Amino acid sequence: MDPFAGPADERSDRALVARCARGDRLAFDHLVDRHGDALFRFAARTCPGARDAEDAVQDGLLAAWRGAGTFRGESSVRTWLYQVVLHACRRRGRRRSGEPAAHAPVEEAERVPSGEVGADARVDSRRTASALEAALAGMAPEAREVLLLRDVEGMSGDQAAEVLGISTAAMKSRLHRGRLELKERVEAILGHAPGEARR
Amino acid sequence: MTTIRDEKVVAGLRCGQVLDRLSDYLDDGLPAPERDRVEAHLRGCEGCARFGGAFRDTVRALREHLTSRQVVMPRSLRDRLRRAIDSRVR
Repeated sequence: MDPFAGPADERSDRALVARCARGDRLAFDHLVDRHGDALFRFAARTCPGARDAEDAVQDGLLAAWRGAGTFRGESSVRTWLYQVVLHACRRRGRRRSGEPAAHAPVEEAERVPSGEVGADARVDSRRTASALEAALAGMAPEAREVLLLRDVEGMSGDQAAEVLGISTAAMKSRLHRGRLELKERVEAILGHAPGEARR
Repeated sequence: MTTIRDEKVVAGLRCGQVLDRLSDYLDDGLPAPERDRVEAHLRGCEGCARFGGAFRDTVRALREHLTSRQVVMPRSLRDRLRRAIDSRVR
């Protein structure tokens, strides 16, 4: 879903949830069409493994289906869906606590044709993206979650705080520490800051 | 509050105070007078300008690189969801 979606999208999301509450499977399909890819992207970077990400999205969306009748509209539908998927991811993470994390690779490596104009830039771009993924995967869940919600999923501060169940002030503090840690980790992997020329 | 060794005071702000405000600055979350002081500090402090630039580039890279990657919910997961809903509706 477009992170800048306006009130019309939210109204139709709420209408879909109301239809889900009445057992309308087609409405649920529409909700999945709108939000499924983004929720899966978030889960793939939040859960400890690829299978866990799929299971967490399934658990979360089924919980949303079952709980549609209790949705009171105090938050946006999008925020609510992220909440239920995040809780499912955390449950999976707790079950696997102590095991090494193996976050899902969210994209297959892209081929870079040799000799093509701009190939170096594309290689650098791929290296930066891989470094960011690796750095995120190595961080504590609390730091990773807030970075994903704010900087990848494009949520506002208030929305991210709501998904995380913390105050906006606490979210901002966590976000800042997370960004500082991410910077250090990415620089350690790349040997330089993103955007700087390779040393 | 962050303390930095050998920090300077520029535009009435210590380096550590600028470091603490970098996220709010990037997110346009500072009141205009405070934003102006941070910018004045960055113009007058080479170390903070370098650190702040790398910080901004990291956040920008996170937003650009990971958001633009196309991630699609697997077909198999959609099918599993449909089957699970069907089994509950019947």
